[in-house]
Amino acid sequence: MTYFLQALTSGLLQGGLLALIAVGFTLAWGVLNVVNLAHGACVVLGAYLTWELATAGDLNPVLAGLVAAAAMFGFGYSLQRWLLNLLLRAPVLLPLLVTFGVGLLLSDVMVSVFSSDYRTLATAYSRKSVIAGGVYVPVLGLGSLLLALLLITCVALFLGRTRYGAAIRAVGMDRDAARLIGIRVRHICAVTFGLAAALAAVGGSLAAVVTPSFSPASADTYTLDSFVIAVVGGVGNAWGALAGGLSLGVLQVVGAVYVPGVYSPSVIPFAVLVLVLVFRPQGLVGRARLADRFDA
Amino acid sequence: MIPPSRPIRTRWLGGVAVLALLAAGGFALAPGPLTAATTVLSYVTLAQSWNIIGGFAGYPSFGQVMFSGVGGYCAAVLTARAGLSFWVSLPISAAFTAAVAAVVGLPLLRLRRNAFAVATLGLAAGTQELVSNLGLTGGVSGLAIPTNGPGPHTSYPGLLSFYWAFLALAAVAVGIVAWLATSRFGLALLSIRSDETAACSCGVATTRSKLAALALSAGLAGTAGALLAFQQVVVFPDPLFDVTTTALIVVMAVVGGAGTVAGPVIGAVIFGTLGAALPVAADRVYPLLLPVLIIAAVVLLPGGVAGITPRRPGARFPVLEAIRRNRL
Repeated sequence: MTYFLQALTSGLLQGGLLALIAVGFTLAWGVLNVVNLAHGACVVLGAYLTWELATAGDLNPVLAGLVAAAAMFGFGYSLQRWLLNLLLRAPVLLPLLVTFGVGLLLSDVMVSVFSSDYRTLATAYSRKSVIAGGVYVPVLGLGSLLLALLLITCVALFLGRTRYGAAIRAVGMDRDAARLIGIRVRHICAVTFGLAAALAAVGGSLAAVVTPSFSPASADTYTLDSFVIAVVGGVGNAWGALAGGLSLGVLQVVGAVYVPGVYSPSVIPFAVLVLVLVFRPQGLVGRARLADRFDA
Repeated sequence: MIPPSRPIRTRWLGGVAVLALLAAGGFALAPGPLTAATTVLSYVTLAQSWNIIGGFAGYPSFGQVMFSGVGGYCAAVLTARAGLSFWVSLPISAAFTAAVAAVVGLPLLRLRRNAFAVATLGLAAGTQELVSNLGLTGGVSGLAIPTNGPGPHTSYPGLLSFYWAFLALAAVAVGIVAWLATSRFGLALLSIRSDETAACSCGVATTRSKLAALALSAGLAGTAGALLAFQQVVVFPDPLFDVTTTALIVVMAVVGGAGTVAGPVIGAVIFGTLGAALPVAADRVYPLLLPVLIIAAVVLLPGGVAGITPRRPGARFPVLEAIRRNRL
């Protein structure tokens, strides 16, 4: 029983990080209808920026993460404003290919600037854990789960309760109607993508601290995990990203422990992805309103 | 769809003449250019295979590399584990890949656009994980197709033979797409791309047509994958299921002109030649240049090179017209 609880706890802690990484991805997909294949690269770039600022710049890791997020917001804003906005009315295949190109470019730049070595960011809390009922809970993992909960709540409140958030949702529902009532759609689209990139960067700086190591090669895994979470949680839904992230984390860890065969942990997410897409394309907790995201 | 400007028979005869010329050209090429030409021909086949499902039927498959990977591994397993001759396993691999596509297509083809792209991408990644971990496929340490030794083996043909084999396969792929462009089946696929609901209401058997298109596409990609596997002798999961290859195939077809016969050929020749020439000319810049090229080509030429000729005199320069149409 303790064994199962330990696996469950580890899964939840891992899931918090995954949810935070995926929330920007699901936001960009839901509002802009852009499946951002460069998302994982943004996550890893955020991790590198944090690492460089914290190690070479001798900054507090929290401050470094904030600076990295601000920088990635600027990057995401410019990318959408000057490149992806050119394809807003194009068939979905074109933005998909462009974001793939951007992801490839980011990965190649990271390999040539930071090299492809594995890196890790050690802090004062690394390797410390608290024990509750026989279950080891790493302090950093717990912190990352709480931070993920806090940030996702902030995103959900921002989208649901503020005028800016309402504008973003309006653009996601109907771009032309939003434009007619005076919303600056180009700017709002860019802000949305910038927000997605900033959230990816925060997820990345958290990953730099929490996960054993990172390298440019981690990008694809983060993108694919974000897919699964966005689809399971319902596209464009921040709370859905949280539910999807936590369930994916638990599935990965519990699957790795209990399902025989070395390949089970890596195959489970894809099986879940395909099954959910086929049987419930609006997501497990999603609303049917955004189901047309797959169709447009 | 552009109606054929010349009589159909003249076009086919012209195609046969070009094919004969290319086949004879194999004798004149040095080993380096011959290998590059073989790679371009494999890209022609893969881009045309994507063109069937992505260009004609409008289903943006992002898992095309999965089909070539499955074909390659099927050939490798049949030759290495079952002791078959490679040339016997080649058609079996093609049929197996088509069958796999039909099985996974049944649920996946109910999805559209982004969802289909994401599902195929996920399926390809999942298949790669599976192949990397199964004992049958040799895992990450790879599987070798026996080319010599005392046991059953297939002797390795030379560069020229591979050039001819890929030329023949590319010719078959172009021939199939040329047939699609004028046939009832191709018209059914184009109508599905334009408006699937309307096509269905007009009596087009949409599910059957989509499944047939995916199986045909996968069969071509699987054959190409089997040949590529034999060319490399040892197959590894990572290069055989590389997502970049899928994206490159799609970019070739789109930038050349999706849904046309000549487009994917043009795209494959452009990117294949660049891929062969650039690493030599600009060794360090190449990894950065390729994504920039992909982005620029997709933004500037979303309709493809094949559609670049202005349709009426005085029309705007088509490259900027694409941006005017697609931007907000």
